[in-house]
Amino acid sequence: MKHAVLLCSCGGTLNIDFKNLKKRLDCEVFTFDYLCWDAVANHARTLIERENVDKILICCTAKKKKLKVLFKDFEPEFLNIRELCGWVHDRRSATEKTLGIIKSKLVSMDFKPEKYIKNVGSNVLIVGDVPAAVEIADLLKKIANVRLLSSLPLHSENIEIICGNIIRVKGELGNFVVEYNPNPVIYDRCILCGACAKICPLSTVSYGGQFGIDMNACNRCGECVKICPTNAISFERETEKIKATHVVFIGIKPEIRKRGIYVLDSIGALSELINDLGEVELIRWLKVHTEKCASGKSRFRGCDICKDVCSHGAIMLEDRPVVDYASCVGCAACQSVCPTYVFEAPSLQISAIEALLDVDLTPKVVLFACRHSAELMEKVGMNHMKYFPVLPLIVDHLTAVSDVHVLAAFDRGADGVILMGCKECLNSLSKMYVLDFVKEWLDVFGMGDRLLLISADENYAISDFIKDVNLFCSGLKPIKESMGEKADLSGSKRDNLIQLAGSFTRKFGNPAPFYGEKYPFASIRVSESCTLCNACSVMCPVNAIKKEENRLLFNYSRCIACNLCQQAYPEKSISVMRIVDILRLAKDEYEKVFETEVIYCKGCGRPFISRAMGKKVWDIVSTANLEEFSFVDLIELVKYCNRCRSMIIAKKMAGLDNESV
Amino acid sequence: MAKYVFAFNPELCIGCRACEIACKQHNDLPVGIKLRNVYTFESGKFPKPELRFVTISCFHCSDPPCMKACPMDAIFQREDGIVLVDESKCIGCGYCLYACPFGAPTFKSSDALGSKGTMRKYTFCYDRIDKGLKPACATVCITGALIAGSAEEVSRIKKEMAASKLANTL
Repeated sequence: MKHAVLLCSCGGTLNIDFKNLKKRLDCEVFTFDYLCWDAVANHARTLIERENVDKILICCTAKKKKLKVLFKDFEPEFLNIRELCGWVHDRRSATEKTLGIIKSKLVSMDFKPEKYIKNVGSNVLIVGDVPAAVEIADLLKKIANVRLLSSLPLHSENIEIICGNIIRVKGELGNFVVEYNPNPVIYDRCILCGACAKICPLSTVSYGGQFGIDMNACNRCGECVKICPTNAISFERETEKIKATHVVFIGIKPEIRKRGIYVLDSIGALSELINDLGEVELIRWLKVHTEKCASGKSRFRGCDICKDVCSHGAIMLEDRPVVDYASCVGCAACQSVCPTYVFEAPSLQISAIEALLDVDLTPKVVLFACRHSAELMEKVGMNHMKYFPVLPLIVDHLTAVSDVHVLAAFDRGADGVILMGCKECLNSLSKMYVLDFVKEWLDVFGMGDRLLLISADENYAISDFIKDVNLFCSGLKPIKESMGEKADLSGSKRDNLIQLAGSFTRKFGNPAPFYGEKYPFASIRVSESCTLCNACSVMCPVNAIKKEENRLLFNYSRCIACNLCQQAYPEKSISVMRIVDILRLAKDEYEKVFETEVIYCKGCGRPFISRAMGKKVWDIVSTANLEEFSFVDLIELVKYCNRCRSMIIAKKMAGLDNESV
Repeated sequence: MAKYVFAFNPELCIGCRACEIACKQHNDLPVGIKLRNVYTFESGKFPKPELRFVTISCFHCSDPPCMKACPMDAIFQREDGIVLVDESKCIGCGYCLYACPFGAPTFKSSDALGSKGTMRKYTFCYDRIDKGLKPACATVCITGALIAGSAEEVSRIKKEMAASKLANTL
């Protein structure tokens, strides 16, 4: 894929050496002075058309909308080198920084999620018992199928009204199931005589086209049930379900918030709903490798680390995780926490970090920022305020930055890392273990002061940003250009962490282990009661436990602390202890955790069972009441391995047991 | 409830392995897993050598040791004597494999000391039994070496066969 970069000097105001840049970028580079002017932009377009370019990176965000339309055939990406570089640093630093962020952006441009159109239908269920609900239902009737679920009877000529109390909503956009308790008055049987309304001592029965009982006020005295001439009232009705593609709440707060569930408290919510009717464009942000999931086996629940991290209600962890793409925004929080790489999101590439750091600055500081908080840096640029040339990597959501990314930055030559996020991102991050994990990791290497977290909420001013960044960077001593190889970070998350553990220990010495209840790392201890059965090795979803002749082997580097072995072990002899030991992580080796005496088959001479298990089995067989097998000695039979056993019994059946074969 | 049993007469078996194949087909078994095995034995001496065939599988014992050994209570015995395993409860520990005197439980790979996966075993085709049919293996046996059914039925068939054999020889 051929890329081109359009650079604009913004009328020569940028303090950047474009010639130098052009030399060091290995793709087509075009430089302009006034790219945002129509004549120049059109000229740029002709130049690009001549070069057969697939994708372009426009380093000018001044008139983004206009350029986006003009260059729409080239899938343009934009980068602000004016406020981020050219206006805020000296010429050399600004040039290096620009080079870094352009290279990094060029890498990440190739990773785009797949978009698709889905017809979700337009079967709207409105939940609410205020008269406004009927009005809105009438309004929406023109563009969708509308039904109304209301706890009180409401008058309406045109709308189907279901009288009942909502319990819960399940499902996703286009496929919701709403459970509700129907009103005790059975509409089919009711003859609208009104006897119930007259007799009710608490006046809870109201009329609105049909009769209904206000279940919040009713004390279930049963008077109405007695008086009803057609037995149309029952307090023992079963819960019912309605299917809907969209659920709209009016005057009630839903339990869950996700796409497809709307709370009509503003015009914005109404337009969101109308936008989501019929065909909608969805983005498949994630590839889900369900076969790698360690959520459980054989009725035991294992890892549930992704359960609560999704702030958008897009992951439902039932037996295996299910992703609702309509609600998913690609924040990649699930990818950041999952130890077995079930979720694959294109949000942040390690190669982009590598490209960013391939510049000549000392010290090199990477600033991971979410899109919201990055606006702060643009404000700084607008004011032409100088600060230390940190290398920004702007992601949509800060949750995409996992422990591996931060550690990879250090491995690839960063001297410090700053994480800057908006309130929402930091809130999501607080539900994840990764940030604490990285901090502890760096602490044990004595590098705790090389990580800075900036919470860029509404009170955070641009002067605070400059102060914090300058203070952090001025205190950083560059890490010596290290000996030893760099880590190979092309694998899955755990592979990468093992590699990083190796490279960190080579470069920065041997760290002490640390504890953490939420980190997916554990060691196992096997007690003497182990009978060397196969349960743990079968249950382990990541092959961290393996059996070999008379030994049980364990690989600490692969264990994700899912606890399945501890739960499913028949002898209860495995205990799982959470601990992070980076030295051990780096080894990626199987080590012996248990050894016992084994019995050898009387026939073929191969080892087949541990002595402890053999005793158990003999006890069971010797007490079994098996008269039908009086023609064989069962106790003798279990001294043979399972293959020899079936052979012996077959020979017996063939009447050949006395002959040599 | 009637107890289900099967009977095997090695003198009638011709080693065609139809029972093995019917079992694989009916249970849709993957490569490498057989719930019914046919063994071939050479016997006799020159000039009268002989081949003998035996088909065996789970015997559905009256007091199954595998069921007693199972730590997860995944193995159970139905009222009609059929012993089954609930694979969703199985943790693959292999106790049943070692407790069974006949080596009937089958795993994805059951090397000595290292079985993998959850247990499967001969089910007596309980799904066919429930429909009033015979197990797949017994249905396809062309010589009548393998017969299955309720205890009375099997003993009746055995008697009939013995009688007809007697009639033939007379």
